[in-house]
Amino acid sequence: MNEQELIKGCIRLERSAQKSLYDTFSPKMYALCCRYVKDPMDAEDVLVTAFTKILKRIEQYRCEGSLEGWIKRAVINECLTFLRKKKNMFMTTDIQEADREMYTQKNYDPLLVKELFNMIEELPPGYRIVFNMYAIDGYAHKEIAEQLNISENTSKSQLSRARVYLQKLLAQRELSTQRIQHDTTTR
Amino acid sequence: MTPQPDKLFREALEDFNRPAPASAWNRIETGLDRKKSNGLWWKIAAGILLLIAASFIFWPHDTILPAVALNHQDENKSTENTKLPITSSAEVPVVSAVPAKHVEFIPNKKIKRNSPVTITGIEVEENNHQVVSNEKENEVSVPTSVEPVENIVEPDEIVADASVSVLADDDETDVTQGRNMKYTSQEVNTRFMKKVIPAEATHEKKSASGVKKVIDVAFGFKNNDSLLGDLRQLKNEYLTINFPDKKRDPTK
Repeated sequence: MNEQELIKGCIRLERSAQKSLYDTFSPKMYALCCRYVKDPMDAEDVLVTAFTKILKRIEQYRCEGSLEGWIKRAVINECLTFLRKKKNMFMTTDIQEADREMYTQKNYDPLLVKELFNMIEELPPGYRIVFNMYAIDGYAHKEIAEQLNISENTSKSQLSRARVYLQKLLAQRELSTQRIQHDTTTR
Repeated sequence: MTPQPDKLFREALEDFNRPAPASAWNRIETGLDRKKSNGLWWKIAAGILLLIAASFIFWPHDTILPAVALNHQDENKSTENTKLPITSSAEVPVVSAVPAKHVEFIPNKKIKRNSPVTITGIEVEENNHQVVSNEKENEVSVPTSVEPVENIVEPDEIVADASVSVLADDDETDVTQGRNMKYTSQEVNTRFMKKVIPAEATHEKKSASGVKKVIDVAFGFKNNDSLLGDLRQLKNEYLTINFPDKKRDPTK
């Protein structure tokens, strides 16, 4: 079933088409929810709410852009709504430029994706949301500021702090990796 | 600021998949089914509310009966009016002040002197207090004025304030120019008399004002200001003619 047939079936409220749409996009969307919301149970709640709305309003999709992009934006909006309700979007209003304690570029060993995913989850809420929206999901600072009701400067500062935090985590991971390699060679 | 972390995480996590819990789809399915039924119930509830509102708007309300309105109208009129219901056997000298517009009663000049005149009720003008006496029968007739009268009022118009004047039972008055309407005492009471429902022990109050009225009438009698003054005069003339020896008090 191609994408157009899938959409038509969902508009006709065919349960098989709706299930097929869900099966196609739910793994990626659930991972996205976990990136934003962190707690797996909360992520499931957000996923359920988001897909219920998507399947109800599928006729609003106007074929402007990909279906995946349309669904992705809907899920991200639902994540942000959830976080607003939980008041879990603490943002510093510090507009000072983040300190430039940046780690120099290095050739990192190939890392497991799951470790990177876990690093994202370790970020504080404000850093995590802005980093996800900007670095992974491609939002501009202006859009982020509108969505989160913050200034663009705050969005930029949050992003900077997120990057610093992740680089520290990466550095720790690298150090630990090197230690492991050293231990194995000395045995 | 190095963009590397951004690129690294984007390339690693952009297409990262994680299987959703099995219960998620069941919950979605339930939500889709619930949405349908919710809408239907809302529509039913809205329809019922509309029905209730429409019935409330278009349901006929009780209307005030004319009699009740009449009574209210009577009560709202001048409190100077005190009216006693006409009874079949009571001698009821009743005076009620009536606005000039209502009635002007002119005694019928053609009343036969030999015939007993029974008059009940009072028809009053502002300046003239005219008197009534017994009513022998329940039936009462109400003449309108015969002579040129400035204010001729239909009996219905008198209703609010005036009491009713009555012709003699066997009247032979000339009513060619006027109209006689006959009412029973009950009709007169309901139509023309102000309904006053006395509280307990208010008879004295009532009678106080009635007494006062009577006194006024009596003075009127004495001073020959009323209709009976003419009658008295006629009586005196009669007695003088027939019984010349006896002396009489002209005021009696």
